[in-house]
Amino acid sequence: MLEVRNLSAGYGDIQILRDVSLSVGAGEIVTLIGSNGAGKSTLLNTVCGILRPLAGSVLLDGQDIGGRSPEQIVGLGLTQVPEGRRLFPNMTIRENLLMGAYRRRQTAEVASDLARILALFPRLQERLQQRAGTLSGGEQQMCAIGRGLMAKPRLLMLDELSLGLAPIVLDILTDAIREVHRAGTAILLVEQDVAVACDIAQTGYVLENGRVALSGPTAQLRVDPHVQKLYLGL
Amino acid sequence: MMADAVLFEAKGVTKRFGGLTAVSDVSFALREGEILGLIGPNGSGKTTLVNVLTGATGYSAGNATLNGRALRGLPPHRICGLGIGRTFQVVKPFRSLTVLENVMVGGLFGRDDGGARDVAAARARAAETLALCGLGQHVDSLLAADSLNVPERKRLELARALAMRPRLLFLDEVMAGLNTGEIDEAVTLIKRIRDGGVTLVVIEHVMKAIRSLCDRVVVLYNGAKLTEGPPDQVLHHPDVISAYLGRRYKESKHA
Amino acid sequence: MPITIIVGAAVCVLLAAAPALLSPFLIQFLINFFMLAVLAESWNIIGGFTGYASFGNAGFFGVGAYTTGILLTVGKLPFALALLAGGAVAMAFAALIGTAVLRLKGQYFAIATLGVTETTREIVYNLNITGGGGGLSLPMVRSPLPFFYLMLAVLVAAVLINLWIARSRFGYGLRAIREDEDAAAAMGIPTARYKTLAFALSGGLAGLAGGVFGYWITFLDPGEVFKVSWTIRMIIMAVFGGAGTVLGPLLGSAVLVAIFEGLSTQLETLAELCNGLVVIAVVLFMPQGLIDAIAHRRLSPRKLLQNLRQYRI
Repeated sequence: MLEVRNLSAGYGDIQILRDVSLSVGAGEIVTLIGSNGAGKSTLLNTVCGILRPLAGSVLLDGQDIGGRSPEQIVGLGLTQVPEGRRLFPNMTIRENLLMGAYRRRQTAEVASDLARILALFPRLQERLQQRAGTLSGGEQQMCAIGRGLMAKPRLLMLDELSLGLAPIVLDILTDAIREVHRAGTAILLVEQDVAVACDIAQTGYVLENGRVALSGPTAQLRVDPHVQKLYLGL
Repeated sequence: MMADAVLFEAKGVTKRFGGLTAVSDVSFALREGEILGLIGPNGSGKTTLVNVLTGATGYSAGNATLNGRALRGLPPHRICGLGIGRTFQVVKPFRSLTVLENVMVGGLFGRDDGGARDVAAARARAAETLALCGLGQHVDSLLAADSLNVPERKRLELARALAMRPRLLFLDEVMAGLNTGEIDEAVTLIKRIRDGGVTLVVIEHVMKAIRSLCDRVVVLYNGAKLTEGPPDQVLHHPDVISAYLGRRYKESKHA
Repeated sequence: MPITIIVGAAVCVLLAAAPALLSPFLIQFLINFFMLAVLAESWNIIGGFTGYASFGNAGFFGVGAYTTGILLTVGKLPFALALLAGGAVAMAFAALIGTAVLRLKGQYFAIATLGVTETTREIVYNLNITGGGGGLSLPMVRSPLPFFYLMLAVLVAAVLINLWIARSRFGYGLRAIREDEDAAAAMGIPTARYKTLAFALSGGLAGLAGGVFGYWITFLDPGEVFKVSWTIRMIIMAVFGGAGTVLGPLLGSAVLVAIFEGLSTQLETLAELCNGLVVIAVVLFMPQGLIDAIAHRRLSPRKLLQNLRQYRI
């Protein structure tokens, strides 16, 4: 569904990604692993249209979407849950979730999607009228994912899911993501925590210094000696 | 290095925001040279506790002492003057100042008897501290601090707090966003800091760091102290597992 | 650094000799420029270094002007004393207002300080000692030269104070407050005390400028002195030139006064238009100010466009 071919991208004068290729099929969960500065967020931002590619292409269902605006790309079914959640702090959970459905007009469907998401994250239902800025880290992450889902994406991209979260919250979130995948959404998960990433995803790419260093099934990546040394500290 | 003297004590610290009790009757003591871990779910009151103890927000009840000196009611800059420093969960660099200037601020304003009150001395100390924290290559850089990447910003935050020459340092989620290799480096650095004479309170979600660093761990849940003890004991405590660690942690090889 | 001092000293010497060489018109022009430069440099202390954009400095300008004027006429004090007192009273006034108003952040601070100018004007209108709405007449001095040297002296003082701030512990504290007040407090900076001091210095310098101004134009009218447009002009000049730098506000005033006054002789409205256009261009393409663009050689078209995109305009 999503294909990135020989992509190079960066910010202004600084080139971060060099010749990166990866793909996410319609029913897959794919993870992108790598250290800080490796280019993971840059990749997501380029796919989403926030950055323009310097070279190479980003294809969605075979169509080149490089250079399109972010709103158009969301309209095509690609949504990002950004690093650090980036919720609207003075809006309530409900308002944040509804903002996710900004581009959608079918109000009945939006309402039933909202109900479905609240069923997925009961904690959000409890705090529906609470301002997003007052939520704990885990609740914010749930709200951010929920907001992303409200756009009814075909592919959901998650940037740094586990950042600053208590271990028990990760349990809840990984279950939720598996549920979302089962319901038909493809997932691209960008993660620092390799254990979490390999737990959730079937295929993985390892990004180092802006290039793809390794790729393959996560079961294989998990036991790869290079990955073990650098990322699992073994 | 481990003296038996009690350096710092929190006694019945409570903080209420209107109807919500964020911190409830929390007490603990720190011996000089200890590294204490502070863990608990998001929203359990860890950062609020640090905000109260460093004077960023007021006490609703309770008190804290540093070497017997009461801290309640003192403004943040007085508490710094006595030798208590902190880093922030979401790093707060002085973005348009250079890396060196950021750390100089720590030296210029930190502990009262910490020296470096004049700009030249602060500059020298800042260069040293940056080298200690692995940012030596940025000492002469004229670029603003916001050109650093995430792990570098965390080190900058740490260097700036160190330049204050604190006796007690609260580190708020320093490991967040670091990969395994970077976590190991951070652990080494923190141990070196402790060896240099700083007592530390480390708030973390990264259990690997807690296990390698801490002499003791305090667990907060819903604002109150759930339990306290050596890391191995605390991390196997059933209440801690059900409230905070979850089954993934339990099932993983670390249990 | 030494080069700057040499150049600065040379400029001062030249300026000091200027009256002998220049026409009366140019002398008045320079007095006006010096005054605006003082106002810009004084605003820079609270607005540029500390990051608290005050919209009330015209109030301190006015307090200085009226204090000096009253002490001169009613108090019959020698001008030097009256001027110093004017500066001191403006400084104290700023410190007093500051204790209340500096607790506010951002736009609330701006509005509160705006209120200060308005309120002070109304008070002055209603007092007898200030001459009320009828204004206050001050003794005439035939030659403009004393005002030339006085205003130049105040400008040198203002620039030197900014220079001291830029290199002192106090200045590091102010900049830290500007960048992140919470982190600054956590570093041990006594934020309330420092903000008040910066505000007081800013007000005091504006007050000195006001004191010289009043005697120079020989007539004080509340509406003319407590005018928001003084504040707006000083902010534009400081920001245009480079807020938070030592010479930026000075450069900004020089350029804008030259354009405005220079063109004023040709066509009044054209001057206003050019003034506005130049300010818009700088805000769009050089948000850090003119001095930053010059110092870091950021004047190429590519860099200017990058700025435009970076600041998302």
